[in-house]
Amino acid sequence: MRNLILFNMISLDGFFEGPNNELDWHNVDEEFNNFAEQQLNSADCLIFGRNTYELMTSYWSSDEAEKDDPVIAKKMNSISKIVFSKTLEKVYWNNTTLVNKNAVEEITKLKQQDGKDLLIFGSADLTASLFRNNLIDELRIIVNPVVLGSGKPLFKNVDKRHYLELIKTKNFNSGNVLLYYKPNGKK
Amino acid sequence: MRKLIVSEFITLDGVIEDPGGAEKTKYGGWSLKFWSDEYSRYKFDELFSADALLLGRVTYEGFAEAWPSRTDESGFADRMNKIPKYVVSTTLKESEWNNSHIINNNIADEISWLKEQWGRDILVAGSGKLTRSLIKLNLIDEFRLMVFPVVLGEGKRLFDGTDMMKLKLIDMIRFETGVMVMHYQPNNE
Repeated sequence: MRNLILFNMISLDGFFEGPNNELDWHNVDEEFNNFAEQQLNSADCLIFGRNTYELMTSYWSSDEAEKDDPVIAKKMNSISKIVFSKTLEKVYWNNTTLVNKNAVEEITKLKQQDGKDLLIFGSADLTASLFRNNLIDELRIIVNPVVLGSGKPLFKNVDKRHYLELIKTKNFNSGNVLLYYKPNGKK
Repeated sequence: MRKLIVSEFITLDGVIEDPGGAEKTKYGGWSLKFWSDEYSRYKFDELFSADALLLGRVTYEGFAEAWPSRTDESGFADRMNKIPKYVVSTTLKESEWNNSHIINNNIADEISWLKEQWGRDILVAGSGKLTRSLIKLNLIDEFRLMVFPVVLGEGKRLFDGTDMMKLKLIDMIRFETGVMVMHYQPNNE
């Protein structure tokens, strides 16, 4: 059984994107990049909803990414990726599969296969659906020391109170705090 | 100068509404199952490092109804009832709770004056609307956010509608039930 890990950078007020998809407030430095690299190494598949896919592909396939984060760019471009979307017609990013079937069913099947972790970033609508269906095994949330005031909330439409269990924490020199949680009841 | 500290119970998704369930909201009471001796001691120390509470009307009214009849061995309730309380409200006419003072005018001046007096910390609890005004007025010295391992998806959020603000993490404490407290200062660099 593979684990499905939700990873997100959030502001102190719980937004993973600014109101206009802004990500420039992310507190990113070498320490963060080392963490991101290790995390990518522990996974063999990334999962996205449409919006996050479009943001990711636009950045990681760019020259800027190649220049600023060459190691991570290489991994992001080569790792296996799945985009769940009923509206996208085609995907252009290297090693990416477009799936327009029901995400809950498909991800349940993926989890039953052998392999490394499945990682999901951003993708708030998809995440909320997976969360409601108890498919997420672990949440890794990096809380940035910034308040945005408005933006896209990481957790919306969660349908009921969800209790979590704090497994461990990691402090970054930048003031970011990484919180590892398991949904209550998960082993 | 006294420090003005905003201390909140907050969910992972930023909601501060009804942690104890007293307001009887749909998802209220979300902090209760995480109570521990450890964090109770933290809150005790925090209350006793302060010598004034600054509250918005809604929080004040909730506290004014709950605290007078409470008593406990540690002296926490006694302290809540005795400590000077300043409630910021233009509509509240009378403050029934012991040692309460209404601030209904010149809020920036009144609170600045309080900070200039000799004394211990001034503590703000709950009071989302007041906190947002204090942020605009640049009067807050520290945020202490007690992050509970729960996601609600709805409810009043502390920072709704504020301007973007950078902060500096100055301390972090983890309690055994999975609750974390993060201490932040406004970052004016």
